[in-house]
Amino acid sequence: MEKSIKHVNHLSQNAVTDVYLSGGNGRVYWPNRLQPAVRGDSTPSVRESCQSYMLDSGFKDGGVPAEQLISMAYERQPDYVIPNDTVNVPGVAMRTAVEETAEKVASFLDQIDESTFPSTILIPLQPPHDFHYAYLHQHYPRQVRRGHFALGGLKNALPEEQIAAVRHFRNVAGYDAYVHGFGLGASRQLIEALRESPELLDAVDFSTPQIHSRSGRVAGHARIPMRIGTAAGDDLSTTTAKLIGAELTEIARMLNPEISDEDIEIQWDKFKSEYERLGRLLEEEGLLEDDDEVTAEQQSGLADFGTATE
Amino acid sequence: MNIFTSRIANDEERRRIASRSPVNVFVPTGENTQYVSDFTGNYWPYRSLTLDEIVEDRKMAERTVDRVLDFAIVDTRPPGSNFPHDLYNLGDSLKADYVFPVTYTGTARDAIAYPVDTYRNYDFSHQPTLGTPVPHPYSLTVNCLNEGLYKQQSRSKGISGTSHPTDFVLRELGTHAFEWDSMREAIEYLQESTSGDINVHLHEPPVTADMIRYIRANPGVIDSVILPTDTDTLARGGAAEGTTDALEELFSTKANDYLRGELCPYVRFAAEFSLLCSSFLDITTEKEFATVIDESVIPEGSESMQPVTNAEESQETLTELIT
Repeated sequence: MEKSIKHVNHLSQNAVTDVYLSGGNGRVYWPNRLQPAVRGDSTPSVRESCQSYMLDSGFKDGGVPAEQLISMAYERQPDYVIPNDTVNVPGVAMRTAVEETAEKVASFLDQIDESTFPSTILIPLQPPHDFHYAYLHQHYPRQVRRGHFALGGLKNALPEEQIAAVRHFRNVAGYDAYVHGFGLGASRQLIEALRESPELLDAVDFSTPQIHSRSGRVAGHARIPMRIGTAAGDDLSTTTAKLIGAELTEIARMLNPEISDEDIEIQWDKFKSEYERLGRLLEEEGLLEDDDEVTAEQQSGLADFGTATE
Repeated sequence: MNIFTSRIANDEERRRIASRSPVNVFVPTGENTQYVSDFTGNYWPYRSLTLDEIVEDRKMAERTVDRVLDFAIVDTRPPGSNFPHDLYNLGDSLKADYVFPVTYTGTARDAIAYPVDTYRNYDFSHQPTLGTPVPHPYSLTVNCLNEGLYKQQSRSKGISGTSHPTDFVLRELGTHAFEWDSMREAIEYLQESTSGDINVHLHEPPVTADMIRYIRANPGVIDSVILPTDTDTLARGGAAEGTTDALEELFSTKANDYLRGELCPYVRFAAEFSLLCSSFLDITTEKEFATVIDESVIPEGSESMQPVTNAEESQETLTELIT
C-alpha cells in the first residue's frame, strides 16, 4: 500500500471525530466519503476508493425518491444511509420540516427489510433538533429509540449557532447515541469546540475543501480560504484532489488533541504582511487599474472568511 | 495456495475487500513495525488486542493503532479484576475506536449497568465506542438489557430518558454457542429485542460456512467479528504460519523489509471470509457456494451445524456410534 495512504489513515484515525469528505472528486484518497444517491453527482470510483461510505438522499428537489436510495444502497453497500428529509430552509415552516421529515423517515423504514438492508440508517433531524427529538418521542417512538442520528438544517447557521444546536440536542438525547453533524462546514470555531468536547459529534462531513479547490483556493489551519489559483483545462481534478487532500489533512490534524492549542494558533502578523505584500505588488504592476472592484482582500480569498456557510 | 491467494495478496485489494464486506473482521494480532509507512505486507484495517496484551506491550499496541482504521480493545480479565475504568483509561489514551468490557453475570442488571454507567461518567478526550457486553446465557442477558434499556422506568420525579446504546458484543461465542443454530438464535434475539439499528459484534465465534451463508442472506445483521486467537481451530487445517520457499530463503534484509512474504494466517482468514461475504462475489447457487467454501480456509463447521439433508442416515450414524 502507498505510504501516503497509510499516513492519511493514521491522520484520520487520530482525529477525535470521523471526518467524511462530501463530494465527487475520485482522484483524492480519503478513508471516509459521503455522496448523494444521484447518478452523475455520485461516482462509483469514490465508493471503491474509500473505507467507510455514507450515502445521502441529496437535497435537490427534496432529495431522490426512496426507491432510488434503497436501490443504490444495495448496489454500493454504504456503511450509513441518510433517508429523505424536508430541510428547514426559508419558506419552509419549522413545524412542517419536522413533521414531514418524520413522516418520510417512517415511510423509508417501512420500505426496507432491516435484516437485508446493508447499511445503518441515520435518522435525519431538523432544527430545533431537541424539539424534533421530543416530537419523535411522542409520535414516532420507533425512530427515537434508534441509536443513530444526523443533525441537518445547519448549513446556513453561524458556527456558534451550530455548536449550540448540537449541545442542546445532546442535552436532551444524551451522549450514547451516534450523532453525525451534517454539512456543518469546517469552521475554526467548530474544530475548536470538537477539540474541547469530542463527545459532541461522532462524525461530520465537509464539502468545504472541495468547494475551495474548485475555485482555486485552499484553507489552512486558520480556515481562511486563500486564493492560490489553478490552471484550467485537462486534469484540473488531479490538482484539486491534491488541494482537497491538503485541506482535509490540516482539518484532521487540528482535530487531533495531541497537537496542542499553541500549535494551531493563528499567526495573524504573517497573514497581514503577506496581504500587504500582495497589495503592493498588484499596485506596482498596475494589475488592478482596469478593475477597481477587485481588492487584494478578494484576490486572496479573505472576503470568504465565513467557511461554515459553504 | 488456493484460488483466493492471488486476489488477497495485495494490501490495496484487501482494503477494498474489507470495505465491501458487510462485516468488519477484527484480526486479534498487532502490527509491530517502527514507522507508519513501514511495509509489512499484512495490512488489514481492523485489529483488536486484549487489555492484557496491551499492558504487556504498550509500544506494539500504539504501533498497531497507527496502522488501522478501527482498533478495538477486548477486556478478557477474570472476574474480580475486570474494573472497566482501566479499560477506558487505556482506550482513551490509545485512541481506540472500540472498548469491549467484560462482565460475567449477564442476568444481573447491575453487572451490565456498571461498565455502561462508568463509561457515561468517564471524561474522554478521545471517546471510543462502547460495546455493551452480552455474556452467556444470552437470551436471559438480552431480556435483562431489554428491560433496563428500552422500557420506561418508573421514577419518583419526571421520566427517564431514552437510552441509545449502539453496539452490543455477544461474548465468548466459541465457548457457549458452538452450534450455528444457537448462535443465530442469540444474534436474532438481540436484534429483535433492541432498537433495530444496533451494531452486533461477535466475540470469538466459530466462523464457518453457515455464518457466511447467513451473512450473504442477511447482510444487515452482523456488524463485526472478533476472530478467536486459537489458530488450531480457526481455519481449515489450522492457521499455522506458512513455510518459506526457496526464493524467500535467499531474501536480503532489504527484501524482507520491502517484499511480500507469507501472509499472516489471521489476515488471510479475515480476507477470505470478507471476500466470501461481500458483494464482490455473485454467488447464486448452493453448489457455487460449496465450491468456493471448499477452496477456502473457512471450515464447513461440524456436522451438527450442517443443514440436515438425510435425517435417516444421520440417525443411523448416531445409532452406530452408541452401539
